[in-house]
Amino acid sequence: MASSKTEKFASIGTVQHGFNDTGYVCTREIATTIYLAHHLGKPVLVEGPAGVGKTELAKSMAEFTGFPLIRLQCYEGLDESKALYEWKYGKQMLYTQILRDRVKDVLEGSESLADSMLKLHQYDDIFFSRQFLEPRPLLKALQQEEGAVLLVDEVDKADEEFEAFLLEVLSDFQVSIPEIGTVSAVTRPIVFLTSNNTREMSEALKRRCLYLFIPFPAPDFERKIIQTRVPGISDKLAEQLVEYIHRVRRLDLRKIPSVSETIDWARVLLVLHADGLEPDLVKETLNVFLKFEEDIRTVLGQFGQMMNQTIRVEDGSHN
Amino acid sequence: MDRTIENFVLALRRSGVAVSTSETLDAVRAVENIGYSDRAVFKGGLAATLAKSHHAKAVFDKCFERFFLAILPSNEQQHSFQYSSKEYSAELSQLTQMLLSGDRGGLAIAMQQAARAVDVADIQFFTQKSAYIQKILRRMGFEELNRDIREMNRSEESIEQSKRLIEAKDELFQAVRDLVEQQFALYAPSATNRMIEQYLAEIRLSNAEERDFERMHAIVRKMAAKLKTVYSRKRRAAKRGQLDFKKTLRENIAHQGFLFETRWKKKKVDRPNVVAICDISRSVKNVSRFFLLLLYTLNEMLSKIKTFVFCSNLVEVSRVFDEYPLSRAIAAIEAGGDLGVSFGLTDYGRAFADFKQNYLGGISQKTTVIIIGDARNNYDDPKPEILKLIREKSKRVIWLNVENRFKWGSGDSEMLKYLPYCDLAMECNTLNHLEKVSRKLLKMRA
Repeated sequence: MASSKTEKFASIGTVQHGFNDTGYVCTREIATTIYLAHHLGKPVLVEGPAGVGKTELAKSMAEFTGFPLIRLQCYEGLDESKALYEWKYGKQMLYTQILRDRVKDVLEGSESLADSMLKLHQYDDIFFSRQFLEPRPLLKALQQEEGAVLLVDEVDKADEEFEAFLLEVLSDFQVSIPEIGTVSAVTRPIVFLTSNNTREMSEALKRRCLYLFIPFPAPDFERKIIQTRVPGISDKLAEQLVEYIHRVRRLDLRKIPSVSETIDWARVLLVLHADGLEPDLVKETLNVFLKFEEDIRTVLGQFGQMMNQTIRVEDGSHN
Repeated sequence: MDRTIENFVLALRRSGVAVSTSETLDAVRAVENIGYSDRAVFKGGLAATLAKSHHAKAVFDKCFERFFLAILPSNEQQHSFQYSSKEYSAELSQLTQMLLSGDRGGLAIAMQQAARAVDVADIQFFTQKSAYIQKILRRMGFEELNRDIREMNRSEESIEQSKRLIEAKDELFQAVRDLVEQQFALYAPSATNRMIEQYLAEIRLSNAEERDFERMHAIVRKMAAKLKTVYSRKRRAAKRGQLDFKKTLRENIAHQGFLFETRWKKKKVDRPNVVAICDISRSVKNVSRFFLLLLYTLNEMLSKIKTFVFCSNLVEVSRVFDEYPLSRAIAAIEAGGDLGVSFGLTDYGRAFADFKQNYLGGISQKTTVIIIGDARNNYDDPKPEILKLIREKSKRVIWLNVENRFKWGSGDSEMLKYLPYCDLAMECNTLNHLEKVSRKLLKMRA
């Protein structure tokens, strides 16, 4: 594994190529950041509008490297017991029950209360050992011997306390469990943090990460994505579709259609056996990429004009 | 290359991007890994390690283009330097020789060396520009050049040469000036910006000029954002409470009554409940705009806030704040007509009476009432008894007066009559005051 890993990260070109093979079309900038993340051993903080493929990037990374993907979805109120570890209370309970009778044997022969306490202390940590530890995503990622891809999704949704707690994991790849001690990573996992920018991340966190901003892709690029993701789509449809979506994005909408929604739309049109954009077809399928009633109304308001422009551009480019 | 990256980091910092030492080290390590043969990759690597937000990225892009362009000698205007002169003598200075032979590369290097020697990267203010230009020129041997020109002017046959030299000298001067301009743009803007911001924070709001408004908007917004984080942190801290024993027992029935998991009492989150009444008459217009701005941001932050404005009569504008974006909301309120604000003489008495009649029911013991105005009532009845009533009904009354404390009670100012019924009355006419007030407001919740 180790040798193939070095091979895979030999140059920025191989990274870019490898990602393309997994179906993730990535720009040179993204490839550079991933290449650096591997060579500097640093987590990557990925930001960008919703639906440009931030989470997808981590998934593709897992596929590219062949490591398991361990995902931690953040939300308000997420705490250590959900993210790091928890004690298996039930099992501890059960074992206490079973061992209750044994306690008598152990304590036999002890003369005073202090004496029996002393004896019990010898068994002190039995119930707080690794056997009773339930690893949650963060700990699981550190324990993977081969390595892992850890995705901390939507880290901006978590509380600030949690962010502070992440710092130890991200800078030293180790966690402290009071009852056991410090657990260090066997192999450093590759870490991705994604954020939708609902809140500014702390400086300390940013300092420990590489930063990658993924914007909406340029038309050429989005077309490539569509063609990779939706095989069987005709060149003409892909071109018109991307052109149209880019026009829609320029409008003043409540929610701008994302790349994933472009892909959805392409799939829908493919199922409907469309070969190019037809006004009626577009009107009927607007709800695939527009999720607000008023957005649909806005687009319909300029429908004819946008349709014409899209098709005219196409004619022009084919001549 | 390290020295270059160091300088680049300096340029970024001066432009307002906070870059830490560890990030600089990362950048150096990144460049070691990726090299600098491919410009796009090089830029990407630096961006990933140095620019850590979308905003910083934009600044980074600008700086990168400027910085790495400034370092390369540009090839423009090369034609004008091509003087192929054979007969210049060896006693001419090095600079003169380079100018005459049109040694563009040599000149560029000499210029960079001189610039580095005089530490042009330290430039802070635009007033320093000409000083730096002079320093660089002197380093490059400008005095010797002038001497050579004088020498040439003496003899007839070299007068042609001297003319060309003078032309070249002008171009050199231009080039150095461009260089300093570039360096200034690279290293100085935030220093100047910071100075202006500081100045604006201290200047009286009513003295601020129209053209500075945009900048002040930005400052107020920045301030509000700061307050917002402080506020949300407080709110979260307030959530932790004492052990809720009943709940803990209930939860742990599953464990046969062993108390494994704890449950905590959650303190009720106390959301500030605010009623703001703002004077928008002409005398305080410049200032009130900023109070409106602050109220607008508070309106976004606090769920329970009601905003009123008055001149002659009192009108509720909370809805306007909720519905419109900032600039439109403020414009709508300032125009007033559609909302039913009449811009007659300021009448605090009537405004309070309006409030008592229509909105007093909305005030409870939890409400903080903020009144913003100069308390100048044009010698009408100020009706302080209504303020007294409001005070009794509410939790506290805060009065922000735009006038200096010494002026309270002078002329038609009724401030002293209102003063006994205010829990807190403050002079508030600079952004610094404003910040202090908003901090107090969030702190005084207990």
